[in-house]
Amino acid sequence: MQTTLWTRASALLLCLSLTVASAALAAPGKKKEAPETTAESLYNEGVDLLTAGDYAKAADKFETAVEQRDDWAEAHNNLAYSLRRQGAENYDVALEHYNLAIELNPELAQAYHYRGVLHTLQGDEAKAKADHATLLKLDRELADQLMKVIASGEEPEGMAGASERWQ
Amino acid sequence: MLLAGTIVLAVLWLRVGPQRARGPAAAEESPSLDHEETVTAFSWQLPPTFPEPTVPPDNPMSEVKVQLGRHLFYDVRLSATGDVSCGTCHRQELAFTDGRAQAVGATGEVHRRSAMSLANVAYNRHLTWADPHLDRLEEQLLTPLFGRHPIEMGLKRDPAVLDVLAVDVELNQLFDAAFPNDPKPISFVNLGRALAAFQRTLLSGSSPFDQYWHQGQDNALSSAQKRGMKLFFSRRLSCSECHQGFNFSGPVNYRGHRENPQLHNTGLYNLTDGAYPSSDQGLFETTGRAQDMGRFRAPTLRNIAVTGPYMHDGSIATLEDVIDHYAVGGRHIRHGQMAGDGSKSPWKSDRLHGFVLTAQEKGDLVDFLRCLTDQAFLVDPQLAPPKKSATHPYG
Repeated sequence: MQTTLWTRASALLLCLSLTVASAALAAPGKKKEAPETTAESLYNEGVDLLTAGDYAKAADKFETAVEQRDDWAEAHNNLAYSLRRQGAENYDVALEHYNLAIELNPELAQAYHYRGVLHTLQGDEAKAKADHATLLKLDRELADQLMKVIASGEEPEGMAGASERWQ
Repeated sequence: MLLAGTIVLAVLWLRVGPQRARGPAAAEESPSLDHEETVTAFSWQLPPTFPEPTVPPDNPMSEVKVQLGRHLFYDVRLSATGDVSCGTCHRQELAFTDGRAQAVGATGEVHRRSAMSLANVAYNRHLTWADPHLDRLEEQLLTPLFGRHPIEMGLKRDPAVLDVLAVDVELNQLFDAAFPNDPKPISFVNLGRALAAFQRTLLSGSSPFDQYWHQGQDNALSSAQKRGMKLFFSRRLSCSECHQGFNFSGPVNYRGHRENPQLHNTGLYNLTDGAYPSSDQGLFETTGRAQDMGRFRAPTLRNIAVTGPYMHDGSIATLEDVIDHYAVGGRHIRHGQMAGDGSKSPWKSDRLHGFVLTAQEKGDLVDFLRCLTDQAFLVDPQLAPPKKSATHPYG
């Protein structure tokens, strides 16, 4: 009786060990089957990080996203914003991405809005007003917000110039 | 009738030139144009960067209708006493206000509110001081024309009024031309439509500020005005939170765009528990909700230097005093029936947080507000009374 119980317990332990071992062996296979990280998912993670105020990590996500999909205006726009928010040393690179975003989509109002903000911060009021003039044709509400920024010299609140999550 | 209309149109074309006459010319060629086509046929003389105003589909713009409206706007026969026109309380040189604290009607009755500027009235999301539901000029103008409490122009809805207009040859021709498909063009409805059409052409957007901002004329503003502009748009003062956009005003409407109504309690009164004088309690009168006590619309600041006295009841005399009022975040009346500290009103807008200005900053801000005056608008002959004729007395 005692031997039987011991045998049963040993068998159960063996089963459990095999299950764990097989699970461990199967894990790499499952990882291979999982979908690869897409530009879109990276972009959305970046938007969430932007919203949370983690601009450095957001910039990493957007950078990887545009490496995968370099013709994505919204991703360049958000990369520019996440760079700009990290400090003046990033302004020039941020401007390059705003320019690229507008080149890719000349009707992307958010990019004009935040490029105008960046021009203001760089002290280039003429270029900021040129972006305001374009915004008046694309999105008057954003144009009004940019006007306040240019006239006051103060950074805007909120994230009206950032592009939204990819749907 | 069609011949008369054609003659009027031809006269108008000669008077105003080919550009402004483009609208009626198109309408004349195709009198059966539907509303949308007629709207597009009208040539707006919009200030640069201004959007196209919203126009009700049942009252499309046409040049001849605007001219009819202009004649009617200045016609003293549209008052009970025969000596008051719309233009009496809305004087062009004062950006279509009257210079009084409170308007005075044809019979001498004092209105409880100050006459509002009609500059850019076409863009107002809602009209008058405190009615968020009133958004059609055609409807609003019935109050000054026919209202009894108070009497403004005191007109009666009497066919005899129309008969008087009908014997005026020039007006008769204008009505015919403005409403070519209407078998009875001289009516109160059409009179209102024409007045509304004229008011939609009261467009003001050529101030020194516009020259500076939109036309790159750096010397259009003085250094003081530029400093004042910076203050105006700053977070510290937040003036542009309520007086925003191209019209420096509360919510606007334009073609394809409609904002939500907004009204504010600016802490002018606090009789008891935030109450305004019973004579005028703003939005509260419409909704009955306590939180709407003393809420009024933020008017345009364009031409504000010539539209004093200020606030809905004209109770603040100068721009300097208005700035002082906002700086302390409300008005403290220490004595008399209106005594109370408006800055402590429970219904005061959160946007009135008060601020501190140096004397120079205050002067700069006033200077900036002065640069919103559009001198050309104040003397534009196309908005002025038409020339008097023997049969057509203009006020």
